[in-house]
Amino acid sequence: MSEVPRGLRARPVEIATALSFAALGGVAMFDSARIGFGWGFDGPQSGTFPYWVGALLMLASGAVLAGAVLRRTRAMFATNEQLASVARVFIPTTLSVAAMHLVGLYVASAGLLAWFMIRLGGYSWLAAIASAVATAVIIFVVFELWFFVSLPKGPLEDLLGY
Amino acid sequence: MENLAALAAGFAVALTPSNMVLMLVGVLLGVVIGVLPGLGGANGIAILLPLTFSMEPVSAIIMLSCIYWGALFGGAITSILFNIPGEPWSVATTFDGYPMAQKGRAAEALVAAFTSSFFGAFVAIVMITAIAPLVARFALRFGPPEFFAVMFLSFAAFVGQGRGSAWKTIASMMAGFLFACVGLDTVTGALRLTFGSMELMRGFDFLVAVIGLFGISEILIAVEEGLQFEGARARIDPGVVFRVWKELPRHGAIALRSSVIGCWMGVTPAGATPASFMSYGMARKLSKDGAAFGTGRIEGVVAPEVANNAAGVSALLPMLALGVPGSPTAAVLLGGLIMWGLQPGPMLFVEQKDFVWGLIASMYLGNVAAFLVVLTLVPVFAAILRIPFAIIAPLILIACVIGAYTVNNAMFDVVLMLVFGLIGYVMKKLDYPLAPMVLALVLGNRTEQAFRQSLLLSEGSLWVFFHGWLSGLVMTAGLVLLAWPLIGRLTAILRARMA
Amino acid sequence: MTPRRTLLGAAAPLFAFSVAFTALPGRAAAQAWEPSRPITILVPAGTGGGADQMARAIQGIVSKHNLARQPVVVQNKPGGAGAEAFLEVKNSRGNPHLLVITLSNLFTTPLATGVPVSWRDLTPVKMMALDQFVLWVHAESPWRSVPEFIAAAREGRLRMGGTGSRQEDQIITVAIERATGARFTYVPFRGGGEVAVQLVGRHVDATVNNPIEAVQHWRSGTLRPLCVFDSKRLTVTDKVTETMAWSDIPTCKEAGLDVEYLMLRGIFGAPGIAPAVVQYYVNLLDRVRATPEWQQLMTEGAFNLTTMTGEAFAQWVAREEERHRSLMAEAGFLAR
Repeated sequence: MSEVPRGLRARPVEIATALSFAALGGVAMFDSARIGFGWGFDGPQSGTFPYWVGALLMLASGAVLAGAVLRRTRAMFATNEQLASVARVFIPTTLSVAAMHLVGLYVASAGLLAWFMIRLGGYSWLAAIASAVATAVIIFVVFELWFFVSLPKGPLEDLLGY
Repeated sequence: MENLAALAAGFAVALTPSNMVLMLVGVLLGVVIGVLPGLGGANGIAILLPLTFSMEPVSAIIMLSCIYWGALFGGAITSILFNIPGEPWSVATTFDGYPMAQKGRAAEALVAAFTSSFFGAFVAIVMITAIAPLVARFALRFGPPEFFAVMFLSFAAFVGQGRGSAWKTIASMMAGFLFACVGLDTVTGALRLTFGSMELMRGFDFLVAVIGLFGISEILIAVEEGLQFEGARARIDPGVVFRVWKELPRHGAIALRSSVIGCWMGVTPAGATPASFMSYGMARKLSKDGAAFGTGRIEGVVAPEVANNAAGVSALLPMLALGVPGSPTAAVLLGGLIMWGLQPGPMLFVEQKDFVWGLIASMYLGNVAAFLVVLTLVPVFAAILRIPFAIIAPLILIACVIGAYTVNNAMFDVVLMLVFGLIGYVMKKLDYPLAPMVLALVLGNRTEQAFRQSLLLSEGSLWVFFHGWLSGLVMTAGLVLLAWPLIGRLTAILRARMA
Repeated sequence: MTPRRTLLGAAAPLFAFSVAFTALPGRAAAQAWEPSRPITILVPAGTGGGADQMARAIQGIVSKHNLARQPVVVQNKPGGAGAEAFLEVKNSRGNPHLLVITLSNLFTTPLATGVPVSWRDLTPVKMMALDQFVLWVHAESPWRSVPEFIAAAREGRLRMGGTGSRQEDQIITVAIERATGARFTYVPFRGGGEVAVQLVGRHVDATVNNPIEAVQHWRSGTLRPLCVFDSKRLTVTDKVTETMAWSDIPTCKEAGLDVEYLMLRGIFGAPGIAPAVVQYYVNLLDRVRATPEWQQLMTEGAFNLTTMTGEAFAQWVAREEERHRSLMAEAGFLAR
């Protein structure tokens, strides 16, 4: 998403979205043509349904695209301020999910909670870390011990013997 | 009469002090299971089932059915508070339940949801008590054409009359169908839209997509206007229960219609998901101010909640009478029955009368117990919204991650959920309706499967859907509902001419 | 999770080693392995079918008789004709708490779809039983014997319902077509329980359900068995209906339809688990087989009680895989 000074206008996003949907439809039609979309020896072939659905999707997004191209509005998609707010929530979440591959869910979750409390809530470090650890422990007890649901773990849990 | 005597005996067994304690424990456990992400009713009961094998069969079934009730009631809670449906059949509850919570009416929405659930379940239990064998025979009439007709009816009840661009609605629904196609095709076993990726072979699970589309995107929308949630000012006082109860009788017609839909869908066994969508769609289409649905109407909570609980309860009937569970949770209960030496099937009602009536008695009692428990917990649930944003937002995000992960125990699904979150955010901002996408995603596979099975049976003729009176009737009802907005407009024009 | 599990698997020996050291003052590390978490049995099929019922029976028996320290959890993973369940086990190398109960889709799914999984990726634990197939028709249908049924099928296309696509039910259907020259319209459904109900509702004309999937409907008088796809008659002589027992059903061969098919009901573990773990499960399952509940299930479902473990089991599975390859090649079901 490119950012113009005061925010993101709706029109380019609208066009990009319609194009992506059309591409999705095209991809579906392409793949369905590969596996066949006629009448096979065991009924309608696997590709029949996605093929026509893909065609309809391309048609519908074509119509949306035409509308977006023809109608020149100056409506905003979101202001820079709004996008910044969204990013402040979404980016730490993404990072925390990425970290889960390495350190497991518990540490990553505790980190996410602590980050939110300190950076967005203005809590003290002590309070934030204490709540983060408490949350991780509660999740562990409820899921792993009570309901036997195994969640991703990392080196820390290995160290503790799980 | 004989049945009533048997039922009375069942009550006598169920109403011992120790069994009543078990009921309470079961309901609380069920609510916890319903609220926690990644612990659906089926999963939760499967885990707890072994605990009950050491009990008396009657006590065990009481406890299990109470867990089942608790989970059914609990499913509505996260839908209303955070726009995150924990089960497919709670999706329709978010449409008006979450807007109500945003307006500070979370407690009212919860009371309405619980009361409706109770009503729906109660109607279904009465139906099971009164006409079980008859209904079981009705279920046998459902072959693939009838099944497809029912799916068609849910779509027909739901689409049309939506606000915004019709093309966007179509695009959204078609994208949903495509997402549902990803993975192995159940009918021929061919791989579709996977492009050689092992991760995609699993397909897009409904929960992963919905947690992203609804839950994550809602958080992103909410934070645009500053780092806080609306609805934090929820009023909580005990009077709310009575205020809602005073209002509910006005929606009696909707509740009755929805419970009929629910019972029907549960028995057939199409399940609770089409039931909730269908009755929400009908409530909206047949209402005078249908356009106001989705902005926080109490009927929009009543209709799906009555229907999905009625369906959840009546789903037990085909399990008992035919050995085919109508829901995943019922399937787990089926395993329990086998363990107690009961073979579900047509002979159960004849050979194991005592057990069947004990179970039905425990349904009545468990439903009442669950209702009382969740009602007293309403203030607790509503108070969750008062937790400061910087604490509750990451907790919800963590819950979403756990929920998405546990569906298949796959990290890939968590990433997918985030992607769906962004997609949902963009779509919402551009006024693409999300509900058609979710509906297509949830029902797409089964609809396609029923369609293809029907065509196989008829060797390609589309008339198969109008061949039997039942499927013909349902299909016609669907077509009428599809054309409903048109009919409405026509009658308006005619009336204007007449005047 | 996949990479995590593998990592854990790799770390497990190391970890065991360090435990052995810390435990030095006492005896050496215990010989016998015991589960330290709940044991998950994956069912590569929907609910209500034969594999599902068997897995749930094992779960119940283990907890009722307290046979294991940890509970057994049953999970259905019908996705991708069972491929999902097998892939999960394949990708959980070294996880000692994961088992999968198989049906024939252990062979048919990889062959039909090209999904990269085979029984060689799993650790064979034990053959629990072999499941029979019976040709069922509705009790109100005019066909009382196999020749009558075949004659009707030759005259006009009959509809055969079955579980899944290009799996055992369809393989048997194709085999019947080849043996008789009749043509069937095969309609796939999601699980055996559903198939039986479709026949009861007369939406299809015949099925080849396993005994346990259809027995209740037989008892209630809505279904009629025509023949059993085994070389010998079933051994259970207890009366199921007023007049008939399982042993009264003729074999298909003696009724003039030369088709035989038996299906594996076996338990497999994750690849790379220690022999001690396999031994633990073999012992556990032996104890399960000895319970009255299990014997009742075997009688109810008229199972073939053959059981195998270890090398004999692996060889049997290898032969069976070859047989399926040739059956499916004949039917044209192999992945292109």
